[in-house]
Amino acid sequence: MSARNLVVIGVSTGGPLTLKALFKEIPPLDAAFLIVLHITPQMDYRIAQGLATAATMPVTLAEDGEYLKHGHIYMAPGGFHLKLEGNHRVVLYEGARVNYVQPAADVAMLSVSRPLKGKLVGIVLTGMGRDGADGIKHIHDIGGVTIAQDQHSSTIYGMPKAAALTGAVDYVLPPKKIAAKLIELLT
Amino acid sequence: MNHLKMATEKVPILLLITAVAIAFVMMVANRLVLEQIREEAVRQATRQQESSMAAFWEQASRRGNLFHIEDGRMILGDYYVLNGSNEIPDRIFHITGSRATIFMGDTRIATNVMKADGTRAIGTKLTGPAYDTVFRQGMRYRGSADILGIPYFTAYDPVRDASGKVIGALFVGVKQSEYLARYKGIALKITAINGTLAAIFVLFAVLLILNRRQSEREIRTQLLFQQHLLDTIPSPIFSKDALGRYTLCNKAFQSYVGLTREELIGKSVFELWPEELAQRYYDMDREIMEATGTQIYESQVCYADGSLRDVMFHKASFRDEHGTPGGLVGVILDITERKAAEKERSLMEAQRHRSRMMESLMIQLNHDLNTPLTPLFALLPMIRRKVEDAGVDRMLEICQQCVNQIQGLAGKSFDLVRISSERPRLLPVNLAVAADSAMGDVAEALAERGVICCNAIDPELKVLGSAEQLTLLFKNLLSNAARYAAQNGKVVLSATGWEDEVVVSVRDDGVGLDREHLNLIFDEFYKADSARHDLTTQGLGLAICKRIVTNHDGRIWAESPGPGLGTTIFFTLKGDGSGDAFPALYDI
Amino acid sequence: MNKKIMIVDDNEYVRASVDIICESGRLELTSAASGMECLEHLEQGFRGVILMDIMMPEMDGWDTIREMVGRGLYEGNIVVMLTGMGEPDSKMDGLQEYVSDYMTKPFNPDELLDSLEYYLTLLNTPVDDHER
Repeated sequence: MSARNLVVIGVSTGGPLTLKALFKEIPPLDAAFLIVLHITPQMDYRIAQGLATAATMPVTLAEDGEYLKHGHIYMAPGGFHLKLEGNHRVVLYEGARVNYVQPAADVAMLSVSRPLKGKLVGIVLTGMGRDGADGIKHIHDIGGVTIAQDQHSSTIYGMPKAAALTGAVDYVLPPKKIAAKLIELLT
Repeated sequence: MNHLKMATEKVPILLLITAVAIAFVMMVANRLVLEQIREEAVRQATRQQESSMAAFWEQASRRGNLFHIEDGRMILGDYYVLNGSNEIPDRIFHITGSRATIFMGDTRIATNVMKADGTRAIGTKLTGPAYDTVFRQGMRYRGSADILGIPYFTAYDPVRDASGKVIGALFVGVKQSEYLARYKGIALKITAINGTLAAIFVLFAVLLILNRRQSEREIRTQLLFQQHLLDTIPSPIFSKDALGRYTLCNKAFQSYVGLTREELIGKSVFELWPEELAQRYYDMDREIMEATGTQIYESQVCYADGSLRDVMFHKASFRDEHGTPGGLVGVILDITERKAAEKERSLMEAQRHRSRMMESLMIQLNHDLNTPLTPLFALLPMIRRKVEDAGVDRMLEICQQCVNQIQGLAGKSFDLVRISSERPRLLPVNLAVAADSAMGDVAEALAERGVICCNAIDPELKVLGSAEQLTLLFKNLLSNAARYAAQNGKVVLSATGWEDEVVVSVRDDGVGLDREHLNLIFDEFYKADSARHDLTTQGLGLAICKRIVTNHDGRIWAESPGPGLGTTIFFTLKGDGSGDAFPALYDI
Repeated sequence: MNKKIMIVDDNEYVRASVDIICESGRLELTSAASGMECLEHLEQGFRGVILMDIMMPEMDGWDTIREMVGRGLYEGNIVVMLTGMGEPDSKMDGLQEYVSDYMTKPFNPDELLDSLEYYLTLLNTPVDDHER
């Protein structure tokens, strides 16, 4: 396929349940979903499995060198930072924490670049801190659509607030409406 | 200033007098010296005539020794006729440069003294003192004499015959003007030089005076400017000399003491103020004069206009280059305002401190309330599920309501404190989305009473604000509207943009309000139900709304046609300036 | 099948409430009144879902988690904060990946049970070595 639609999601505390609620509402779509959840190497597989039971698309941990495919959900594994080459090839590397966390959503989001070969969506969901704020601004600046979770539905309204405060967020929505927006954007 | 005036008048005059005096002295000296030179020249001329005369006699002696007159002719020696024999005088002239004349009797018979027409003055007569000396007294004459009206340096020797009778005379002489010509030339030069020097001197003096005048003008201007500057400075400034008399003051000082400059300058404190006060000032001044550096101290003084002010005195003594005290300078700073501002600042600081304390208390209280609330919240539903008795269930329902009430109070109080303490950053926010968010939160409460909520806000409308607080604002307004809306009624949200301001309205069709309540409803803990029976509300909702709207630089107010006719809450927000007027999309 | 829950809270009524809720959900509750007690239980082999209060005397929730991680006692557990603090402060920085959820008091018992059950299924997910 020539188009490479990509959805990058940054999420932290409250992630497991929020991602379940979100992806439950999303049918298989023509895009690759990359989730950067702040997680330990011991739990990343289990979370992915838990999500897989609720989601309509397959969920796997991203592997180094892997090419992202449409209709698939990838989770960045714990213990590494993940960046994308050419917006579709996974590169994992060890490194210092960014925004006090690892894997960092900013690392993944900032690695997405022009030219976009398809639609690009950046999402920041519940979490403490400000990981994802710089990343979401970057995604906005290179022409992507940006979404932040709203305060009421957020387990911790830290990261989504920091993202919203950049002024670069197009939509502030609860999970059900984020799902609806994604369907709208990617069909 | 006065010193300067005096100086200005005396000095140039002195200078001028001195200059003129020196010039005069120079001229006099000049004159004296020239006199000397002249005298010397005359002396020399006289001596020269002496030697010329000697030469004359010598020439004569070559031709003979005795003179006698015969037949109207003067004969020298045996046969030499002197009449018309100009060659001897000429010879003398040639050798000595002096003119010579041979007199027969008093008549010139051989001479190279010329008449005015250029011919020899043969036949002219000798007159004057020379004639007297030679012919009457029979003596030689040395000195000045006029010949044919022209002054000469002369030497006359009587010529005697064999019997010793004076029969004629010999004359040598030079025209004074010729002889003195050189002297005159020198004299002229010297005089010229002297004169020039004198003139230059006087010129210098004049220039100096002009320069001085200029400097004085500049100093005067400077002093005037300085005085003007001092007068412009609102702080009283003064200076005193070593004896404690005022030497300088500005306008501000004058109004401070209530005296004019004329009344102050030159007077000491004792002449201006009562003994006791003056003594105190004097002693303080003495202290300051002894000390080095600036003395700064605060005090309270009474100005001449009667006002009591907090002031700061800055006083310093100044010394001349030898270190003797020359006086002191003082500046009075009115710090009344500053002190007032400081007081206000510390009051505000205390206030801020108090609010910060309140805040942490609230946060602590909120947390502490949540702890015992936890078991209540957790267990009451579970108990109710186990209970079958309707009576017991009713009791538990009451407990549940109360627990909700407590939680509501804790949460709202906390919200209120939080909203008040931070002014949010105002970013563009989609208003319709904030309303939607709130609608989601209140959905249950609305559904309970069958109230329909309609969001008629333009989905593109953006305002400047905090999404968080705006959602909370709508939440409170909607839960209020939900409470007071008619059963199965509706609540309508709409917004219109007006230039940079957006007016938002939340309208319900419920119980409405009467006039007196319209303003009161925004007060903390106010409930329209005066008995405060309604347990489901804490009365804080609208107070929170007001606080949020204030944070957004807006206004909030309520309108109601009357009881039973519904209520509309209006509030204003800043538009993000991106659009024109946004009329309400539709009005149901 | 791991059905183990630990409550770490200095308030006895909170602990009692959670006990009752877990009982109704047929989950096994271990009680700890402090961070120290929590660590003791972990040393003795507890692995499961830990409900952690934040504001406790001597050792708060964050310090307890740091100590868990430091002593290698974290693996095999899922930590959920259960607290009266509406939002976490910056003391949480660096612990984001260790905290899976954040519940505020007072909480809804049914919601709590649902979450606990979900987290237990995550813990009980079998992991093949080569699937990582």
